[in-house]
Amino acid sequence: MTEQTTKKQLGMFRLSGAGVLALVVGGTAAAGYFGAGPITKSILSSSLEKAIGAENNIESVQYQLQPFGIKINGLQQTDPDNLSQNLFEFKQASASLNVWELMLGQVLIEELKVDSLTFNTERTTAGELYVPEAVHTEDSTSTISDFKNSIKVPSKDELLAKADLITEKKAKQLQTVWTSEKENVEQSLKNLPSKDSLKKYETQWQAIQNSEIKSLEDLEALKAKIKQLKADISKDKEAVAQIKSQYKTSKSNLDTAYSELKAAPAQDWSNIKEQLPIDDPSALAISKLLFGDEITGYITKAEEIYKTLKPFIDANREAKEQDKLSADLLTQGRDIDFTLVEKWPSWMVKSLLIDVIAPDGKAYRVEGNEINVESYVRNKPSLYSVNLVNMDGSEESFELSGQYFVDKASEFTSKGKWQLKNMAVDGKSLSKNKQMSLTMDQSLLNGDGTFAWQDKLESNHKLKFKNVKMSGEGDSQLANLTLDTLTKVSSFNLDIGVKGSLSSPSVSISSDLDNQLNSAFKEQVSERWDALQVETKQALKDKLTASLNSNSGNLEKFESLKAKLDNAEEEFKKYGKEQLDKLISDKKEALEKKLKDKAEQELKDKLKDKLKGKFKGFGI
Amino acid sequence: MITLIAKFLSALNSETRPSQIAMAIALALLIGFNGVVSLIGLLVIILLFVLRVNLSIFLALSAVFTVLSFVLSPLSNMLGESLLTSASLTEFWTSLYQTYWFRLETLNNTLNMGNLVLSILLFLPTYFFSHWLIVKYRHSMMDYVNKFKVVQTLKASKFYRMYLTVNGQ
Repeated sequence: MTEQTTKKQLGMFRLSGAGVLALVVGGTAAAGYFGAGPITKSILSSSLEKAIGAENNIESVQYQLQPFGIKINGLQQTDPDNLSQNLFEFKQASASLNVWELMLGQVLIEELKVDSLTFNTERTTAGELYVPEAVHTEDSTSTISDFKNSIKVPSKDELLAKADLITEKKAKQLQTVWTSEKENVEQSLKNLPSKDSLKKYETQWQAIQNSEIKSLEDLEALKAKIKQLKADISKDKEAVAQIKSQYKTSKSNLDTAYSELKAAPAQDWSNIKEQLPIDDPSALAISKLLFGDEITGYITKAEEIYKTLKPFIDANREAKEQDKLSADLLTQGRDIDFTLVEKWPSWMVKSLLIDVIAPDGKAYRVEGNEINVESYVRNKPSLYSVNLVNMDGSEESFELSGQYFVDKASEFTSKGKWQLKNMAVDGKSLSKNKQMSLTMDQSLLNGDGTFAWQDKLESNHKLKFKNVKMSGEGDSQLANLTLDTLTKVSSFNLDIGVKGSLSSPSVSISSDLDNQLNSAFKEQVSERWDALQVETKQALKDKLTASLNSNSGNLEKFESLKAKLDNAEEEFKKYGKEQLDKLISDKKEALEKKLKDKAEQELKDKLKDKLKGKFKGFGI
Repeated sequence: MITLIAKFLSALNSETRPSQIAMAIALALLIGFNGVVSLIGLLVIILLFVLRVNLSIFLALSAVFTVLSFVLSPLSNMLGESLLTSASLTEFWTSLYQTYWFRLETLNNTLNMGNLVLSILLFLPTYFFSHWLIVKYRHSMMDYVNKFKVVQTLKASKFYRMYLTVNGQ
């Protein structure tokens, strides 16, 4: 009973329970605080090793509670291509995160700092390789080699092989026209009256001419014969006219094809001249040859970066669509949207600060704000800048600033500018090909430029080299001429324009170096170009002659056909309507005269007989 | 089901205070309607540690109230819809939407809002009604119910004995 009373007197609050709760919460927090660091270190390290394929080392990972964040100390990532050096390393990276946003599924990094990020540093001990070495393919060399080859004067065969020759096309066209028209003419010639037909007309004509008309019946019979002859001749004349018409059409077509073929070599020459710097060797840009490799390298790098970032931008779009699909599947409840004052994208770095030490030992500070790939959410562009940290007190400076925006359709746009002052360029190799090696031993570089990306790249850069000293070696007359000119240059400008898509950009490089070099080149190269001009024109002429010769036999045959047709027409002229009508008229007149004479004679005879009777009594 | 009835009978017939059983029922209502993974769920778990409530009843009725919340979901949805779309409350909801806990709870969802409001509204009535019912039962019905053949059969069953063993009674 006493025990029951004691139980009943127990209050609503359970102090022991509160103690257990405190222990559970405290234990969990302590385990998280002390265990999370090593666990994260292990996960991060193995993830990087899997992603990059080489050993990763991290000194320690720490979590901080207020503000909630993570700190990575001493990270070294081995270069899988060179195990004795690090791909990159940094002393410390820290990120402070917004926990509430994290629970809402959004990674909002308030501040991301990377201290002393260095690339390609030597390792104290060689790292391990975790995956087979990736095979790197170089596909950007063709453009460079094109630049290199552009200095060579091509042969006539190379020119003719590259050019899409109109002469050859027109020669083929003439052959086709000839074959087609020959067939048409031959088809129509089947209707040409034969020699026998003409002989038959001759015989009939002679017979008609020699026929004697004694009576009206004879005349009618003659008329019928002539009518028949007229009809036969008319039919054959019509056939000849048709053949002649076909001949004229075919002749016209052939004449057109011939005249086009004859004009083709001139057109070919004109086209070749437009495509190649035959008339003006100064169009050869030496600056492309010297700086093409460097610029192509930058473009290739930019394309690599873009290709790396693109999947993240696209993945975000796919994730959004998937979320929407899942939401549609919810059958219970409806989400009411209220205006959110502060919207965040799925991930964002509010403030980014990276101190980078470049391979040449120079320190750069990379800063960013609002770094994310869903700019449309906050309708704010992401800002970035790179600045040279001048530690030795020199006047050298580099500033790059820009911004980018990713819209709802994941379209990326960016614009920015850069400026460079008093940067020393020493021992820069500009050309290492077989014909010529060139090194810029010393120069002071200034420059500025702008860039913009919206569907395609639009960028212009101006570089000014001062106090230039160059040296090199060449193994040809042209290379030595180039070197001779370049070593005398003390300053020059370089204007670079890169436009179009990253995969196939249009690069324009111009420099006042070109003018200096081209005047020297022009003298040397113009003689070679003149000779080439004569050779190429002769080759085109030969092609024309060959084509004309191959068709000359056919042309003669075609011309003889005209004589044949003219002859046939001439033959038919004899049996023209006028001649036949005149023949009938003559025969008719002869008959009438004959009848008249006969009638007169009969009248005379009758009159004579009558007079004889009257004058009988007079003794006559 | 037998276990559930066994638990009920055991608790009702035990010397546990009616308030402890009533609080367990009311807290089960909150969990059943709002789920464990929520701020309300967290609050209930803390209360379970701190308050002396009947855990058996709580666990058994949590499942019952979860089922009940599904049954009442059209009503909850309607309630949430009318509250969240009320023009006079738009400003209030918008200001709450700026807070993390509101968005974490997805209280802008009509069903979640309806469940929360309904469970809070029913919390005190459930507690007091349960308390009254238990007191009433113990005073006037317990002896009478215990005489039922079905109850005696149940008490004699393997499940009931097993339950008592587990609960140490």
